[in-house]
Formats: sequence, structure tokens, C-alpha cells
Amino acid sequence: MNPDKETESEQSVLEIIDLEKEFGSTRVLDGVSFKIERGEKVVLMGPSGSGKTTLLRCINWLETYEKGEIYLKGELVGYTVEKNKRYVRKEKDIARMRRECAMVFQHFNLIGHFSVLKNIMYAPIKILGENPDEVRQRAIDLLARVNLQDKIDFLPSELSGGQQQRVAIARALAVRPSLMLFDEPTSALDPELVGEVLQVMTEVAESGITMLIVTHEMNFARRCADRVIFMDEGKEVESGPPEIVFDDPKHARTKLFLGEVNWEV
Amino acid sequence: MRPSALPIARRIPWFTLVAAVILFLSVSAIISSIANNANLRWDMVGKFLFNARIIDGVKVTLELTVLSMLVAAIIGFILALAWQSSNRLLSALTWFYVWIFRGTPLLVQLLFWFNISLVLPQVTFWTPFSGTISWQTNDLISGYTAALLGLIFHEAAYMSEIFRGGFLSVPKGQVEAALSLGMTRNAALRCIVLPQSMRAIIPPATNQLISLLKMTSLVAVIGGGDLLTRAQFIYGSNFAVIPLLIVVSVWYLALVSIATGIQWYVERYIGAGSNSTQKINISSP
Repeated sequence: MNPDKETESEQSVLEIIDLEKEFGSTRVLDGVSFKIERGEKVVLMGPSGSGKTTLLRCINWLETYEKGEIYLKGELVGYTVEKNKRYVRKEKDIARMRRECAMVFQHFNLIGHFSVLKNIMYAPIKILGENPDEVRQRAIDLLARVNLQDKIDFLPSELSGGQQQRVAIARALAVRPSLMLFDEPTSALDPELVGEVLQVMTEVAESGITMLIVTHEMNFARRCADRVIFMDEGKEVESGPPEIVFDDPKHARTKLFLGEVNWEV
Repeated sequence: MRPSALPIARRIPWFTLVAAVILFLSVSAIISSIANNANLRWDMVGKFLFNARIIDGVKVTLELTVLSMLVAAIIGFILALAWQSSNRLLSALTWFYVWIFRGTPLLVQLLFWFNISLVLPQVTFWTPFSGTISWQTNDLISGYTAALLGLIFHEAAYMSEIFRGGFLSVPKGQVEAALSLGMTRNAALRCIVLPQSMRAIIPPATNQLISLLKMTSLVAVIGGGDLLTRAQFIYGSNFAVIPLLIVVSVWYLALVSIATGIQWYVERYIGAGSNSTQKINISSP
């Protein structure tokens, strides 16, 4: 098996093969496989406990996995293969690979003692070593894009949840990731703040960036997703374009779930 | 008339008033009996308050406090890092350290250090060029060095717990965000966890400093040369036991008051921009 396969031009941004994950005796992921091509927007859906968040965290190696493979731009996440053995990657190597994808968390996780601007500029300057002046301009442009140009010097605690999440999206965009991961970005928000975050996410989607989104926002999925993957009990139940999965689900489990979710927003 | 048109009157708090009067009378009786008690020899207190030997003792007390706090903070920090380490042996060792040094009384530890020569009569180092060098332990361990060692090792155990609690107070999401941006664990610890844990570390650490300041008086049992040692030395020859203990108390009160002032200032400083130092109102409005 060759871990670093395919050439740059034709490789998928993300390829997951037979991923399994257990917490104690609970099987959270039970053989998940899919690919995401450059520019694709994929929405991951399913009832809580179906393994969506764990899957996202595995891609970023915030959660380890032992069975199956995750390839990010052709590189195996978390492990290197040497002489028929698997070794966990060195800390620096893991950090390097994490820079390929940017994560937007359910609870925003903005760095509490950094201002809004510093939250966005920190990774490009301190971690990627880019030119500070250039990064500053980019950060200001990004803040304008998420409509928060007047909050540059605010601390995260001084912003509403929706504003914090928009900063978090700007922070993720600032590192110019190959893949953006969204972990239920609107589920911790008050209902009236969900719209502004979805608005920003829609604009990000239109800019052509590759996205993998865990969300329950059906209308957002219908509007932006190229593909919807419906998961239950750690398995992919069905997948396809949103209009097919939503309007003509094949599986009883999908139908049941779609009947329960909220179609507003 | 509607209630809203009536003035709001307050009842006279008879019980509180009577209690206050009784309390005031009894406290003044106690104070006046203390002030007028001839056995307390207030003249001797005034005479010895700024005695050169007492002032020397104050210096040693401060020196012991500051030195042992600094070194203990460094050791405690390293222990707290080691505890966090994924290396099981390392974290077990820190657990063991804290178990030993927090689990036995400081007084006992001080006596151990003072009598260490009974266990290790000689200290021998091997150096690559000049061979072995050795000293008699008794020449190395004076009352002062034993005091310093005892305080440092005891205090380090407490400081490591304070640091550990501080690290734990930082939400997990902060570290995950840092990692997902591509920081290494060490960088995340340095740039994210440490600054954010300070708010949870500084109040108990200053508290610890204040209690350490008073705990240094224990070193008097091994002749550590601190304030109490000097006072005991003086009253051993002039038998003015109570006046000198009052002198010692006055000095400790003064030092602790200063330290409390610093603590108040520091807490206000780190609490700037947050409401974390505000009192929680537990009484009725």
C-alpha cells in the first residue's frame, strides 16, 4: 500500500476509506468511506450520535483513529508508513497537516485573550510565517466580508455568538485552507443569529472553496451543497445531490429523520 | 389609597442595635484590659520593635519567603507540566512528589532536612576533570539552608497543584482551536494555555505567598535565623517572652497587610476587563 498516492492534479482533497472508531465499547464510526473533490461542498447529516462530529475531528487529528484511512490531499492523516509499519506522525508533522484544513467549531473557540483582528492574523503570521502587513490587510478584508469591520479591536467575549462565529469563519479563511470543516456551526446560536452565519457560509461556498459541513440546516444544504451524506449509527445510509436525498429519500431512516427536522431558515 | 402612593418606611432594627451596643462594650472592655495589663510590658514592645536583631530577623524572613517562593514556583511549574505529559512515568513521579511533600507536615520535613547528615554524612560529586569532590554534609546544611530546602520542597508541591488547576481551568476548545490552526502542543501551551491560566493561578498563588510568609516562622525550631528565631533568642536572655512575641506578631501583621495590599492590586489588574473579581451577592437585596 502506498500512502502518498496519485499525483497533485488528479487527487481528491479528501478521501476516507473504511474509517472505524470506537469510544470504549461504543462504535461511533463503523466503516465510513467517501471522497471530496476540489471545490465540492458536502453536507454531512444525521441524528445526534451518528458520528458526524467524530468524523470531522478525525480528519483534523483532534481525535485519533486506528482502523481505516484518511487521506488529505493524498497524504495519510496521523500516520506515516515505513517498512510495513505505521507510526504516529511527529507533532510538527501533524501540525503541518492540520494547516491544510481549517475547522469552524460549534462553540466558536476564538482565542479568549486575543482581539478579533489578532485571532485572524495569528495563524498566518506566527504559524505560516507570512508578511504581517499583507496578513493585516487580508484580515481587514475578511472582516469586511463577514461584515464585522467595526469590531476589529473587540475581544471575543464582547461579541454575540453569531458575530463570534463569523470571526471564526474569517479566521479559518485567513489560512487559505484546502478544505474547510464546519462542525455544527449554527447549533449553539440563538435562532435569530443563525441567519447571519448561514449568509456568510453561503458566500464562502460561492467563492469555490472545498467544504465539509455538519449541519441540520436543510435549506442551507439545499442551496449550497453539491452532495448530502446522510449518516446513522456510524454508517453512511445514503448520499446524493440534496434535491434527490431530500425529496426522494430511499431509506426509511432518512425519511424519518427528514420528517423530524426543522425546515425553517 | 393605593400602596404605590404611600412612602416606603423602614422598621427600626432593635435587635441589631442592641447587639451592636453589647458587642461594642465587650470589645472595648477586652481592648482596655489588654492595653492596661502590666504583664504585657508595652514599653518593652516599643523598645524591641526596631531592635537591630529583630530587623535582621525580618530580613531573613522576607528572604526565606521570596527565595523559596521563586524556586518553588519554578519547580511547581515544571511538575505541573510533567503531570500533563503523556509520559506515564513522568506524571506518576509528579503524583508521588506531591503525595510525599504535601502529605507530611512542614515541621517534620524541616527537621528531616536539618538532620540530613544522619542519612548522608557526605555529599560527593564526580566531575570529569578534577575527579570527585566531597563535603561534609554538616558543613553544607546550616539551619538556614535546611530551612530554605524544607520550604522550597514543601511549597513546590502546593505550587504544582495551583499551576495544574490553572491549566485545567482553560477550556479545552481553546487548545483544540490552536491545534487545528496548526500550532504544536508546546506552542499552544505557551501562547494559549499559559496566558489564560494566569487568571486562575495568580489569586491562589498570592494566597500561598501570604501563608508561606507566616509558615517561615516554623524554621525557628531548627534555628533558621528568621524573625521568630531572633525573638526567641532575645527572650531567652531577658525573659520578656510576651513583649517579644507581640513584636513578632506586629511585624507579621504588617508584612501580611502589605502582601494583602499587593494581592488586591494584582487581582484588580488581572481582572481588568472582566467581572471575575466582583463579589457575588449572597445576602438578600
